[in-house]
Amino acid sequence: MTSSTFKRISNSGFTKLALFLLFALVPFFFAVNDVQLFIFWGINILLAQSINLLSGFAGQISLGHAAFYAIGAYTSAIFMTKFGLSLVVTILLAALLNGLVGYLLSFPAGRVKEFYLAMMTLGFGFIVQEVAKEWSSVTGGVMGLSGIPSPQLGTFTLLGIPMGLAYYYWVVLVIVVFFLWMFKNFVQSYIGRSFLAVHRSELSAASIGISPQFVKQLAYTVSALMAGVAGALYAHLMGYIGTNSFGMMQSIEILVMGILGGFGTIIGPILGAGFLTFIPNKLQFIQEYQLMIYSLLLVVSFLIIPQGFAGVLKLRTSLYKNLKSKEKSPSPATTVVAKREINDLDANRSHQPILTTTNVIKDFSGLRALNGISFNLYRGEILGLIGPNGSGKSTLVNLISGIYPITSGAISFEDDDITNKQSHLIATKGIIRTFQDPHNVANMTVRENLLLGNHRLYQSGILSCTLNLKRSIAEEQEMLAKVDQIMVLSELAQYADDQVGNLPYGIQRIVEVARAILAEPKILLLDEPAAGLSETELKLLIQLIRYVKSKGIPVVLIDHHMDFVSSLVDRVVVLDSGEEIYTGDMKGMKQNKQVIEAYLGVAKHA
Amino acid sequence: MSSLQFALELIFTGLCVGAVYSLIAHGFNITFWTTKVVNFGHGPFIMFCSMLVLSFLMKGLPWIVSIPLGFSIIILLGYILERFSIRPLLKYPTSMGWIVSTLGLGLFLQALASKIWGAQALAFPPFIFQATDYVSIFGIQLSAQYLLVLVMALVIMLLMEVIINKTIWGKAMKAVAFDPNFARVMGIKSKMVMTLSFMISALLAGVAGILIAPIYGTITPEFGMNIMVLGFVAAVLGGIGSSKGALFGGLMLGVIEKLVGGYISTSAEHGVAFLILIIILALKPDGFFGVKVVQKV
Amino acid sequence: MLKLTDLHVNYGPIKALQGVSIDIEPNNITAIIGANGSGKSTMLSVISGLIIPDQGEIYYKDIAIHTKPVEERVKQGIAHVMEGRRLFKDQSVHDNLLLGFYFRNSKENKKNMLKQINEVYDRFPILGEKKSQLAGTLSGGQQQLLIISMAILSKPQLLLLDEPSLGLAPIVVDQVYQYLEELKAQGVTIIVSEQMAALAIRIADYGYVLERGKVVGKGDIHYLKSMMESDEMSSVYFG
Repeated sequence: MTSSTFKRISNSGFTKLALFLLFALVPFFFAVNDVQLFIFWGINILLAQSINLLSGFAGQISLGHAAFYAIGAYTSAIFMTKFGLSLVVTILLAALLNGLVGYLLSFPAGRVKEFYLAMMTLGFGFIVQEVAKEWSSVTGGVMGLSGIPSPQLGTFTLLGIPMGLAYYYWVVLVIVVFFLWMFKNFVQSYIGRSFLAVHRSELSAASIGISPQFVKQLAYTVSALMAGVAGALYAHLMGYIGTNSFGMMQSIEILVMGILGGFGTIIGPILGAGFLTFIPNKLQFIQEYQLMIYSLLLVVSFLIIPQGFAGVLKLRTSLYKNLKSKEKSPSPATTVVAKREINDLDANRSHQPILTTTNVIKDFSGLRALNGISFNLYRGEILGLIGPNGSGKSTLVNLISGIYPITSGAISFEDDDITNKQSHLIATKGIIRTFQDPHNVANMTVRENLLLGNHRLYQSGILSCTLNLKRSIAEEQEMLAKVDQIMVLSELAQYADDQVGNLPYGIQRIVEVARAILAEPKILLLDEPAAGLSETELKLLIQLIRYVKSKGIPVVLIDHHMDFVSSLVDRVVVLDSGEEIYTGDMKGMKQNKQVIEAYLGVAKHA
Repeated sequence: MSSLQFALELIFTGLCVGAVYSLIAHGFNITFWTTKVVNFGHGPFIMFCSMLVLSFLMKGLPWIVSIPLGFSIIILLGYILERFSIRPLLKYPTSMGWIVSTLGLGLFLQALASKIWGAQALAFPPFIFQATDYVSIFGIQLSAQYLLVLVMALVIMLLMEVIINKTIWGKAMKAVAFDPNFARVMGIKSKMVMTLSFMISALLAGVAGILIAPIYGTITPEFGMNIMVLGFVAAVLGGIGSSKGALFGGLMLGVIEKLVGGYISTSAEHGVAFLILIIILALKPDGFFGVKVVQKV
Repeated sequence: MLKLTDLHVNYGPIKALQGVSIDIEPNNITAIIGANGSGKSTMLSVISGLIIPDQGEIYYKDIAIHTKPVEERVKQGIAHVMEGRRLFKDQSVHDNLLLGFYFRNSKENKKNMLKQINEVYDRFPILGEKKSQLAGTLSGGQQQLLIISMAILSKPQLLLLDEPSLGLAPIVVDQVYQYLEELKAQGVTIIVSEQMAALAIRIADYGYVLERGKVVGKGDIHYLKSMMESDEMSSVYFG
């Protein structure tokens, strides 16, 4: 069975219903112990997806995930035993409190990356465990909390009805299925895609208007919330909780479920959770060496199966919602229109500057990279920015796009001062850039990458996306149509469902430029877009840039490939050692003594 | 006991424990210099070495044999760590790979230790001095064992500083840290220096284990992980990559911990340390002596 | 002395060198001229071994070296001055020279280490004056002299310099170039890459012009000069 037919079958509503019913039948066919295992699987699925969202999607490593699990368990247990609240309420409380803790943690955690973050989360895990140990009046300390109503002990009631294990299983099943449904909707929305963009590169995400800070806050909040629900379900299953259940080993186990199953997919962590639930229980010798095996899995998994089970089984989760699955391809008419527009190039030029830099100076630890650059970018023009190595071209683009703070001077855009604004805010205003090496998300398809370009145009709320409300679906379809149109124009349609990382370099560059175009920029900054392109790809790129110009969008173009530059630009600004040495047309530049000196050393005939 | 004496004793104890934290932080620094990698399995290395030495002692071997034997094994583990758990993963752009794999190897050692020596606490014999030996300085009773630990930790750190700053191999290590490709062009075998740094780091973990074990009195397979996180706190306080920072951060953390333990509650000691970790990382991730790294586009 | 045949280097999908063949005569200064991204640095790195070519061969004194690691080529007398003034900036001038010397010389040679380092101080007194300062605190020109001195300490027979004039004041460039001629007189073979064609032809005996990974021109000093006179050279840069 090919993976596509498998996908079609597993995606059909009928299969899903059948699977759900099959799982619902579990208590009738399995012994009590096994039903308990199934419940554990469900709890572990929530935990695995929780860390999947945070680490797999948003790229924020967590070595202290058991802390959220613990907070959920204790919250629910304490509210039920001390205040006699019902499970419905205590689960909600556990989720909310955890979400709050996650939200608060995102502030310190959002400021650090990589191994600093690993250390911090490790510390967070230890703190929560310490608090649980020492705050014995509430948590029972090292003795733990017992007497929690539990279906296993027959002490559990829901809405006044006594519940056995089978009922509890059904409750867990419904909750897990509901969460998986929401999870799927979430990651297949523009918000889910923005998580992966931040994972790939915060700089690049910000360059298309995604706020890395917001993504992290949301990731921590939602991830904590899910782990909280898992914790609550665990507490009531066991009837007893102690600090030992939430130590570092538990954090590691959660991490292993995610990594082994496959981060960044939906099916992966479900498999990973299943593996770690059933295998140790069913194979006695594994139980004995459980810790050693987990730890060895950690050592080797990245080397052997970096994408986990999901990678091995080639089960990729698509990251957009296409409800009308066999979408009509964009009508040829629109493409023709798009292509015809390209001929009408200079219609939109005007003499009103859209972007102005005034005496911009940039110092890097004592070295002056830019020394008082002032230039205007006019509506509808293509401006070439050229100069020898180290002349400051890229630095200037990095200042305009807000990646570096400027030392002095000002940058204004459409009468707004954008000097030293955060780069995602600058992008949101419509100043969109590309990078010297393509910053696409390698494990997303071309179509998904292009949808990222649309990010700043989306209006649906988080809840609307998570609950698949009609409006959000309609919006997604609208964006998909736009993507289709640009894909035709940029000749990417044949690659639409290929992962960008597997495509030739030139195509990746085209994808990045197309992505920038989809952001419907007001200014487009292209940093060496032609580097490494073949002749045919170069022609395509030229066509795309002309298309942008035909829309009246001004372009700033950095490139060393002079034939390419002169075929496009209206004017050039030449930089040398951080100074502007020439502004004008290409022809004049080639005659300009200073420019020739900057490149060749001395002017000819000198 | 006067309140001043009480305070001084807390500070002294804090300095002794803190000196060991400094050694641990130093162990992180050395690999950080050469590869920008921090060994998340450093803690179990600490534990494993002290467990090894203890088991050799229990077999009847003298200190003089047990310690070098333990050190040799831990150095070998450092080599294995670099070759199998780090080098293959450095090619990935994110650190998640090596964080997870070094942590994995550490946890494996921890699990292995529980398998071999059991999960319960084992008594670690005092080294050279008896637990009851005291030295009196300015009327304060100082444990001879603690004093020994303090002096040895400081001497080892001094030695490390001398090796790194005064010998050609130390300079080569700094060179590789600064620019591995340029170092290769200068004929320095960069890969070898990287491996070497992990072996030295492992040795420092072993030394820290031997020094801290007599202070704790008992050791368990888990104690390494806990003390490693305290080493993180020390390293981060001072600024990762800074020798001065490691020393300062370790001593400061030790003193803070003991003061909190003495005046507030001993059970809050570690909790406070973890809190410091989070706060410092959030407010000043380069620590007090660290160098700010310029973000590259 | 050195022969490159049909070298191809790809950085992933980018073709940095596409079939470059060159021949270097001993005791010559050869200039590699070209704009940004023409493949100059890549070519020098391939010779020194920092980059292993995807295709093609390198013969150094008639021995194939293209599979040998950097460290071995260093021992055979190839020294590489990388672009961008690479130095151990966090160590002193003296320590930089020590590092430049120690790992590339035989045991025999190391006995005279300090004497040879002192010779550097004699040649460039400013380095002697600042020998205990951190290398990063030197001016750009002083750094360049230090780097070349470090390279020279291995007694190379083949010296590769990647844009040694980049970012230096003209007077300092003169000083550097003067030193290169001195080295040539001592029998060192030199390959120097330059973006500034006019500078390179001041000292070169022979030159190659690279454009996007391919040799588009080669010849002796007269040929290079005539290229400069005509529009040919600027068309390499400006299309």
